[in-house]
Amino acid sequence: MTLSALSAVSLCLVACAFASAAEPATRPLSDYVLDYDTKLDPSLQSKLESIDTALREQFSMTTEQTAVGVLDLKT
Amino acid sequence: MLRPDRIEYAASIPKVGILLAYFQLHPDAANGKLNAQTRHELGLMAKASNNEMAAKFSREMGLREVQKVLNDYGFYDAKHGGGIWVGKHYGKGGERIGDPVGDHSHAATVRQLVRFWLMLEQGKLVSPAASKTMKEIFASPDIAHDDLKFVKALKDRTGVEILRKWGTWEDWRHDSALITGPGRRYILVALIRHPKGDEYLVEVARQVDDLLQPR
Repeated sequence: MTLSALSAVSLCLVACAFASAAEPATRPLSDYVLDYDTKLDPSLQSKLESIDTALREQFSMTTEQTAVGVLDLKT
Repeated sequence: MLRPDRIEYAASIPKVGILLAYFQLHPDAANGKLNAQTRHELGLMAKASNNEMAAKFSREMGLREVQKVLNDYGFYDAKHGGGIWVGKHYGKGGERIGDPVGDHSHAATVRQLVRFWLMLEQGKLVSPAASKTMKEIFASPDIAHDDLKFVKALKDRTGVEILRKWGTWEDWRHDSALITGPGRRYILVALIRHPKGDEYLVEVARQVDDLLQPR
């Protein structure tokens, strides 16, 4: 990690896979807290579900065999 | 997130907890006084998943002390399904402390691994300086990436950098990473229990990376 990259991170905003539609679309990354009550972003959640469903079908997996999470730290 | 709080046997992924505990319990290391040999050995544990190095550090600190650090950060919470658990020194034999939820020797949940990478990125693990050093250890340019799972998926994509910890034991196939590329920066965690788990991990990384690339 370069210093310039770290600086960029410190300035970036997170539009997160867990933010609810009722919350601000962006927030400072440094303030973001992921806990058990963090709301999901419906759009990203839906796309992740679609990816998982297709891959489970492709590889003959059940929902008991996969667990996945994505957090989008958009700059 | 899909099934974020379901605890899974996590193979080598909880080595991230040993790295965190090392910095939490060694203030000098967190203050930039980490000697070259120890930095390299931590890199072997974090990036090359070296069991001998992991056991060296966990034995030095003690399993209970390592887990206390994880618990104090909220990375394991039995009331919410568990999380990151280091209950055995890596390698054969020795002391074993099963996690309260699943009785695993080493465990993780998707949510707590995402939190780990998020807090590392935020500079909230131990201190900003310690978090920066831990990221440098995950990067360890003198140690080659293991060319499998997320790294195998994205190695040919221009400008992509990956800090990651993977784990494999029998059919448990996992990867977790902070991924940066042109126009995108994200955390991806996938815990799979299936003989074709590595194939799933390659495909999910490619498809999520496609999804998050700027249009």
